[in-house]
Amino acid sequence: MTEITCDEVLEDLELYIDGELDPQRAERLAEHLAGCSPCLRRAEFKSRLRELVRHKCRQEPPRHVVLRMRTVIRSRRAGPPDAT
Amino acid sequence: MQQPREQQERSQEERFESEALPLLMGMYSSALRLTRNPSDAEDLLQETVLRAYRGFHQFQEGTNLKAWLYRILMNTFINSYRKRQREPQTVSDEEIADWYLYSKLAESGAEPSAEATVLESLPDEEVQEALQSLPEQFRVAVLLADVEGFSYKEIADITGVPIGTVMSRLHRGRKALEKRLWEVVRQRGLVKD
Repeated sequence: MTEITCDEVLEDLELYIDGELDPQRAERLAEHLAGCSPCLRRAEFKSRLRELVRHKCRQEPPRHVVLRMRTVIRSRRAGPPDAT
Repeated sequence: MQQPREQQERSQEERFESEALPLLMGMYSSALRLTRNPSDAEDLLQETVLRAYRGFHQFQEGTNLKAWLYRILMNTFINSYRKRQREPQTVSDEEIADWYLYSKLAESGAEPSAEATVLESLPDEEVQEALQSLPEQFRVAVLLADVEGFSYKEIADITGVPIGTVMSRLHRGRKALEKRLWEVVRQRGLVKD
């Protein structure tokens, strides 16, 4: 299997971390990362950045919002049919 | 004895409550990222819940319910809330290099493993504000991909734009976010400049 260069890896890294790289290229990239710590460090950084954005930007709805949505549905059920 | 149609409606309502409603609750956070204020987020969520409820008989069981619900959320947002918003200052993203944030942190002398640790120490609100400060198209792409975990194809379906456009907005949006995060890190004095 032909080696890929670090430049090629860095270009494909975003697609790879997103799980959007085709399996063949993904496999070559993974092999490269296993043997190249500068590229691996960047891959890990991108991964961690993704993860922290996900973790910090998701939040549970406040209790009153949960209750409001449930009430909205229940009143829809009980009420007359929509005039739409 | 119940008529078949009534039974169908009942089981549809049950399915809505057990499958759709939990997902909808999980969408409050996205509504907040989109509208940038809790009051509008609640209203947007309520409208989305109602539209989903009314349209649930059209949802094909076994297909992607989360994407279907997000499509409703995005359409509702665009139709009802987007016009009211003042668009944030556009980020000139042409000058943002790839690996912007990584390079900045490394240059500042942070230890390799500490580069992400610096970011992890940021309060949630500051990261949320950084995301919310992005222009809408970038914000939506990053929200759907990085916060909600949708694939490029799913995002294309949800937003109604081609996959190539999704990828471009996502790439540029992430760079714009990195720039904002770097500004936050600097402002808080978390690294030597």
